[in-house]
Amino acid sequence: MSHEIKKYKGSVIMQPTKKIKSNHIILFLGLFGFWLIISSSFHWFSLFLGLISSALITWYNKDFLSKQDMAGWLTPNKLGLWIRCIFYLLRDIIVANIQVAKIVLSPDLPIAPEMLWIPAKSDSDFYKVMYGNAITLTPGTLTVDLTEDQYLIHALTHQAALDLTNSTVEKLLLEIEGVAHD
Amino acid sequence: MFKDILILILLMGSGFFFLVGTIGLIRMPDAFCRMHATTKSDTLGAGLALVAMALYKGLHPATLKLFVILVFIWMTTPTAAHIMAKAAYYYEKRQQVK
Repeated sequence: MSHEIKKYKGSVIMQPTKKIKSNHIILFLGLFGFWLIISSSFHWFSLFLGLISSALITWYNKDFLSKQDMAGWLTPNKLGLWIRCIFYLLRDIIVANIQVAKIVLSPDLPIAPEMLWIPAKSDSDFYKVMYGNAITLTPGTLTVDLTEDQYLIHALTHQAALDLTNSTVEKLLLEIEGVAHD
Repeated sequence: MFKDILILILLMGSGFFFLVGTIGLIRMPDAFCRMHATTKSDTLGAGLALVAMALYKGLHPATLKLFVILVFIWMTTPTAAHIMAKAAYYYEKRQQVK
């Protein structure tokens, strides 16, 4: 957690700790890197404009950023886990895309759509967004709704729904966040 | 020569998955199933097309831009699909209550 909750004259105020600063730096560097890629020019005026606009956007979002705890997700020692996670996601996408292609192209359209609730195994917003998107990217399953602790999933076949219960991507995301799971 | 063949295969794969997405859109019975066909096939279709373009360009600033486009598509497609599915779900729910 990146916040200390302090009682101050009866009201609870959120006290930003040292970690918060890194959120701003990550966004600033991300935006500036994006500017460099898009403009692909190292002329001083272009760099100057990029710096000014990145700084302005970071400043404009400073209150929003203070409420997020992104920093714990993007530390260098988790890079290996992220690469493995992306690799497994890519594998899932390709394998399941071929399955969907088979279903669509077979003459009798063998689908058995079903809606199911599955539990979200972590409270963090970042985890929930990442895993929700991973579910949708994996063909055969689609995130319909997200409540406090559950996903509403639409599955194209029963097999796709079963595959969700032991997803490697989910385990890796949990590992990145550092939550023990059973 | 080898690179050209690889690019050709990637582009044909991309075309195939876009085609599957479109056929799925026509054949599937309801809104959710249609979304499965279109959003998923498009992620791989667009991905293969962009990888083919990156291979064609080689090491070039444009390759980085293509990579940024790829990440952007893969982040926004599921989000858009999610919001459409949510709208379809609550619309259906309201129809049942009436």
